[in-house]
Amino acid sequence: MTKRYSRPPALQPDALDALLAREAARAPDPVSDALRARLLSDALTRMPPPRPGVAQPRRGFLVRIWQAIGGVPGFAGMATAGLAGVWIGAADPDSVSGLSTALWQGAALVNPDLADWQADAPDGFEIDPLLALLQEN
Amino acid sequence: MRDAASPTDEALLQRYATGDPEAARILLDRLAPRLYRLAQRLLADPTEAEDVVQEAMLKLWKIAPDWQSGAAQPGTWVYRVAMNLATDRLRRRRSVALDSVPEPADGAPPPLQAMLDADRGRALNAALAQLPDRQRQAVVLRHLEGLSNPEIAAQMDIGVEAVESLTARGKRRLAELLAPRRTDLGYDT
Repeated sequence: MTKRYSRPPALQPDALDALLAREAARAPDPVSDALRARLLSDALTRMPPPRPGVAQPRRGFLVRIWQAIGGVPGFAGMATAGLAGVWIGAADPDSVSGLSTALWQGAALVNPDLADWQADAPDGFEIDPLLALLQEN
Repeated sequence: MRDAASPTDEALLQRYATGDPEAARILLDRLAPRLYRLAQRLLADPTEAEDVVQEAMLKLWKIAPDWQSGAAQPGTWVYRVAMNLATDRLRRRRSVALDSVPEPADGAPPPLQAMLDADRGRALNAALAQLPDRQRQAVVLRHLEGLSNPEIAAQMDIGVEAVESLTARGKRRLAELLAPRRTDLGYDT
């Protein structure tokens, strides 16, 4: 036995008009990400180069500051330097003076005599003309 | 929707023509959704609709450096381009003569039976997609896009009476296609 379907009565004209009106008033959905990417690629590929003398849109003050300091790498360097300064300022002065003393004492130990220079000079090198020249000046 | 402080489409197109990529982004986000909806409604084919949007926007980018200020709004212009492109595709379709497809006889299963869980908008769009191309074009342009009958006649290259006939037949067919959803759509009271 064949199953038969009876056709239901059609939608009333005013109901259809209401449905169409609702659909006409509906805001369009955003396009898919893939289509948007294609459209943007097309636009940027065909975009004329910036014209000299044509003012580009001004960026915000903070954006320009951020770009002036070099973005993330620049900010990281400034932060490191700042932290080092804070440490130097806040650290125990003894440790700093100890460091400078060690440096100066080490430097004081290096005191070569003129004879050491002559001994290490290459063959044929005469120190006397150089000393005379220094005395003249 | 554009608020009063945001730039006009024309201003954005001029900025694009001077090499401003941000203007391109704003303009395509503003125009592409409406173009896609128009193309999808007319063609009932997502792939073809995307191609139409891409082609229409390409024409807009191409004309940007030569855009005549004050002649027309870019949104209106590109909308017309997309409508023409979709109409051309409808003309080129070489499938069966869809207007001559016989309507289902009594005894055939309801075509939208499988879509009982769809909402009203989806049900309407699904029914629109089942209309013959010319009927769908006439109904969409008249009732969803708001064009006048003479405008539709010019777009479809037919007479106004033919537009009225196509629209009437299209709506009658829509009402039949949506019949199984009467209760579901809240119209069976």
